[in-house]
Amino acid sequence: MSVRRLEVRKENYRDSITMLRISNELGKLEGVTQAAAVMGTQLNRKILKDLGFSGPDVESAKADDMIIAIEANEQKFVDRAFGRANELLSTTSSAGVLAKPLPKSLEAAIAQTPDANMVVISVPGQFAKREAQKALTSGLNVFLFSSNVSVEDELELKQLALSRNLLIMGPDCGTSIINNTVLGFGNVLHSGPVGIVSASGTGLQQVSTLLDSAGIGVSHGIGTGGNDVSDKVGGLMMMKGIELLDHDPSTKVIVLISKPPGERTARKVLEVASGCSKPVIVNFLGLKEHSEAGTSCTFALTLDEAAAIAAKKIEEIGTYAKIDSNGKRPLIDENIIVSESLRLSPSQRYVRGLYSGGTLCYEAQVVMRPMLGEIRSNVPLVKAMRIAGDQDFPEGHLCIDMGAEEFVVGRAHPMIDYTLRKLRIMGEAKKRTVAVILLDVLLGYGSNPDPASELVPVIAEAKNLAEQDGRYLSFVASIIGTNGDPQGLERQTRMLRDARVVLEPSNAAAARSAARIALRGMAQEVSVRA
Amino acid sequence: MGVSTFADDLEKQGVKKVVRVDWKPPATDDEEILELLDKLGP
Repeated sequence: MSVRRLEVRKENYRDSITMLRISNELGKLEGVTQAAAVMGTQLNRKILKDLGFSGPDVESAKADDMIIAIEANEQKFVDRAFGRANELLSTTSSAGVLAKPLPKSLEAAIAQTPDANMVVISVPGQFAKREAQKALTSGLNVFLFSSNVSVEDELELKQLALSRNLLIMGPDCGTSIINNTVLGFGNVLHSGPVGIVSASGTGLQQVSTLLDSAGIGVSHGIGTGGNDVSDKVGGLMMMKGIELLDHDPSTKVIVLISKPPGERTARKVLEVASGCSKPVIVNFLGLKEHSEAGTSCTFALTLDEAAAIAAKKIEEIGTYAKIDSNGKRPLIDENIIVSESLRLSPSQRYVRGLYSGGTLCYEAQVVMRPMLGEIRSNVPLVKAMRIAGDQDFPEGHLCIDMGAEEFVVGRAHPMIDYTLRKLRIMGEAKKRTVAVILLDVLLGYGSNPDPASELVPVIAEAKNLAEQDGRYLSFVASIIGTNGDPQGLERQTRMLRDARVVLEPSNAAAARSAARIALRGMAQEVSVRA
Repeated sequence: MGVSTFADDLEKQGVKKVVRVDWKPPATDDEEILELLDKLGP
């Protein structure tokens, strides 16, 4: 027997991570079979319905209403869960538990902290511009995690920042590393001679962790936000970042990362890069060369190639002692690729990439397209292959960025909240045509505290389901992390290996292996329109 | 201002001073704001 209760608390706001923590804690209470504490966005209301909570209360809830839904074996467990929810909610809102009340506005915070030089902003998109503008006019640099800020507002903010010689990292910036301090998501790294400017958070994480594992540290990683290199914004922060790193004495080599920029912006950025006094490695995912690039610029097709070229340049410069790196990266095991592909049943043909990092999702397609042919995605290489992230396809290769806007309204990012990815994995496991599921696993600050523990049970269940149906479901992944990360790289690696996940040293390598397994080592004549 | 775990992580890294702003969406009857809120999840 199960008892359900749902409550809507009108106009009661908490951020999505607080809500996730509350959901997780309620879910662990005795007798509770399902617990959800979420804001009433359209996406969350749909998920509640899928979990069996429906009705007029759910339908009429708005984005700034809080919904608490509990399912348990008995009424008393439901009541206890609501009691606990109330306790948790009162402690998260009240500043009264602290000795000093928290400032309620940015102005108040700045007034009480005159030596502040940075504001980290992650409020919902429509309020973000106003706050960022206040910060810049008060002379502070900004790390703007919030997305859903209009391009016009982004341009205005960046022009304001430049006029005051300040940095605004974002909007839609997930990662920066300034003076060895991680802002947002990011890994624990050694500091060193490579400086990075990136329009991609996970791209920055991939390159910096690979450098770290090669014994080379990072001076600064300047995130520009995902839209910076569009022609509308014109690469303003990327160019500012290059300038800053060019003048930074601790930086000896510069790496630029983004998806292919707008054509005008590519030319401007490369012109600035070519005028640099230091070597610049350019990774515009998929762009192999450009007429505008000078001799100081080297192009890398993939993120791991960018890290490798940067490492080589540092060795050529020769004045840096390598840090002691005992994080030995595993080599690609050819036998695993063969044995995985041998186990597939004839109906299984497709790769399904389920990504938390948008750039990694894009990179996977750059690597796999020459091998597999066209891949559908919500961040596609070609417009004709664009789909909505939550569209279901029984056939065809897919790469889905589950951190895209349609998945994160009122929810924590998939690097933190694995719920939607886990649901999707089970959905894909039911399909007779799916051969390989490809994943990225991000460690570091801000990310889920134990991704392996989240994934292992669902991977086992998925593999089991396939096996019952006479199939074999292969899982391929890369872990992006360092030995210093709080999740414990070694333990995460071990747990996923024990769950029979094929682990590769980089996202590009994982994508390559996934494609090879699905192809079963057959050479394919693939005609691909450029 | 916003997601509190970002502040937690900065403190864990030993950043000299981290000030948390107790931010809430503005309570307002302003039509424009209400419209924007509705756009999040009608």
